[in-house]
Amino acid sequence: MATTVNPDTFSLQASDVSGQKVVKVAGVAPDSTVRELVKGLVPKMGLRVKDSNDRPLTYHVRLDREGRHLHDSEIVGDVLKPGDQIVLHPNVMAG
Amino acid sequence: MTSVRSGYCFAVEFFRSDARGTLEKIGSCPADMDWQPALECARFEWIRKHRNEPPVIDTSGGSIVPSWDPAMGRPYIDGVYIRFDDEPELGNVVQDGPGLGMLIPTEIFRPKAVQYSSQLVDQGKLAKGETFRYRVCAYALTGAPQRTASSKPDLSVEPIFEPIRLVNRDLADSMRCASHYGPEMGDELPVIIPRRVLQEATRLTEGAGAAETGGVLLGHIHEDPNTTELFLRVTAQVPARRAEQALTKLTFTPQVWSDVDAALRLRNEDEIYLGWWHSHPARQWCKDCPVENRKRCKLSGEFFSSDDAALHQCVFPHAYSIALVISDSYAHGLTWPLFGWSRGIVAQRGYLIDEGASAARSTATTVVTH
Repeated sequence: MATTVNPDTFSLQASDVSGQKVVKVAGVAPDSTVRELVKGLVPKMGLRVKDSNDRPLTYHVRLDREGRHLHDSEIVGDVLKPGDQIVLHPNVMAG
Repeated sequence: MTSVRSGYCFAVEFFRSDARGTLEKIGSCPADMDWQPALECARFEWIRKHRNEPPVIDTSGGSIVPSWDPAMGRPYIDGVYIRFDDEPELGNVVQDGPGLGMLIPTEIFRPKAVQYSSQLVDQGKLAKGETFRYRVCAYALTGAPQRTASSKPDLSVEPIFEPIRLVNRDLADSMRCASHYGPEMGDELPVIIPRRVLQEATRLTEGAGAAETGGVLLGHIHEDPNTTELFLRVTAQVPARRAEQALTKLTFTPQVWSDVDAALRLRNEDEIYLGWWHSHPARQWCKDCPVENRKRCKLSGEFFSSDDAALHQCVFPHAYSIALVISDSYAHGLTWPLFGWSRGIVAQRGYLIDEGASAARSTATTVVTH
């Protein structure tokens, strides 16, 4: 059965902190929250999802176009546009 | 995105030694490994040795093959080989034979072994603090080799592989005013850190007092135009001013990364993230301990904690990434150990301290495109 592309979704570009790991992301649902986008994107980019104590790592989306971090509760369709570039910034602890 | 073929699954077996040295098996557990750091190391080593190929760290098409322990035989292994589909010189190499790519020793399983050993303690099979030994086994998966990555049909990710940005610079000239620090370097990627960067980080460490502090290391990956050898040169450190600081931990917040990005843009010198640094104020950790214990305490040594390793893997997973520690202890005073990836494991390594400005000038940025 052929895969049907949802016409309501869009694509953007995401990278890790260092900018060395860059991906094209397709199928971004505009009615999802930023939190849901991050939850789906982090494992697909091969980023670490837990810290050394097995606690979930939190990532925040930085939108290059606006130069700010998006709130988890913001709706993707309200804050992101097709072709936007985002960076996943982790909150991570050293000791 | 992490996608590696492995026709095997791995397990760790735990043993204790009795008074006669006989090993008694006390448990076993599956070892679900993240092979990405090892894949990155293997790919980067291939790039270092094949400078006529595009310097693209593309780890797709990687596969894991056990190296069977010659003394104990299957299913026990003494490591795994990592190879990539596009390594032409491997050709018709015999399956599971030597020369099948980079050999990763079983030490890569050690963090898993330590993690699982706590379960054995909870089960009463191992006493807290008791020494144990472990061996690693590999078992063939039935059916087709499995990809470790999965994807949901609604969100898809396609990696964009770009060549590493290399800057021409003469290595011999860069080393002219440099002195060696730390363990012997062997065949590792040379790393050069200016003395002033160490001094800045040290001043920030001393200023932070009873709190950890840190920052990000910026610089370039260089290619010597005469020998094509690659090396790193740190050019600056950006303090993590908006990190959350505490006596025994340092949290790099999203604001830290934004500040570093802003610094990169302002500096406008084509630098990239090379790694990070942070302090271990052991003198503060141990100040309430008896004097005789201070010099013996394991915290007074040069070490990289599991939290440090987790941050390094999270933010700096690339094979060339480095981590500098500013350690201040009663036992050794101020020291500056450097850590980096070595066959998929973070290990202490030597480096060069540039004691003065070198005469070499960087030529125009060379970006290899094919």
